[in-house]
Amino acid sequence: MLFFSFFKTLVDQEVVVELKNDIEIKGTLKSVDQYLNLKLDNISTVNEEKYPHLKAVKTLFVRGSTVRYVHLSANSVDCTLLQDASRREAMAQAGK
Amino acid sequence: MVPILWYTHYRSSLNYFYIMSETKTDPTNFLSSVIGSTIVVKLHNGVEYKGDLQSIDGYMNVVLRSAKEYVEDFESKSFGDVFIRGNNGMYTIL
Amino acid sequence: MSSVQTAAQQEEPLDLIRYQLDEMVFVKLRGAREMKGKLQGYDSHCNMVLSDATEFIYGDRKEDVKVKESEMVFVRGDSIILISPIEE
Repeated sequence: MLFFSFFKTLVDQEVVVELKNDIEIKGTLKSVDQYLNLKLDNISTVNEEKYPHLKAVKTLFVRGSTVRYVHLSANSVDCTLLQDASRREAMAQAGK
Repeated sequence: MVPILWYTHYRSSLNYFYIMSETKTDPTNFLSSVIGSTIVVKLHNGVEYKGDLQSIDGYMNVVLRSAKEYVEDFESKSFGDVFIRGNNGMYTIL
Repeated sequence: MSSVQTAAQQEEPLDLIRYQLDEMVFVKLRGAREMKGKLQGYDSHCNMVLSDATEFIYGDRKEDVKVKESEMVFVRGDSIILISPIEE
């Protein structure tokens, strides 16, 4: 659940999603669910000349399992908070 | 006579199952009894890792200490500690 | 009772990753990729966030390496093969 909460804090931020098939999509993160499926708005493909088939698409739903990376801007992440949350999540997991 | 015989038979078979459950170990129990020894983990991609088993969990995630990576039998890399995600494992050699 | 106690004391593989929070790690990924970066967060699926990350993508020959930088990147756990601390 940690990264579900993490991505919720990134809603309305600009992100670049890199898929496992090498397509890179830049867009505004609109929503996220527990599977880390993502809804992106105002999208554009970073490598458009290679993958032109998303030119006409504005909004996209990305299945979480197809994601390889999500690139973020450094100032949109509170690193100390994320580290502490990771430790807390690990503690909670150990208690189970 | 017959019921008593049946009864003793029943009791001994219960004992049998009891002993079975005591000695039966699942793969992770077995591997945790072997912590500290040198093992080789082979991954689906064919790469092998040899090192001292430090810990293992139910996903078969492992941590190897002073591990070496072997690609096609040639040593290609060495690690102080390495965490290997369980889903990549094909088999473990002791 | 005693088994519960030993389970709590026992080191888990994911503990190694927890010790690496705020430290540089080396991550080997599927698709002949490697990544180095400072670990900022992780979960039990090995999903993780790395800061100041450098990605190395290896071609058919080990020499042709493509290098990519990212100031903050989320890596989905299912692509991860192994994680190792970077010793200085």
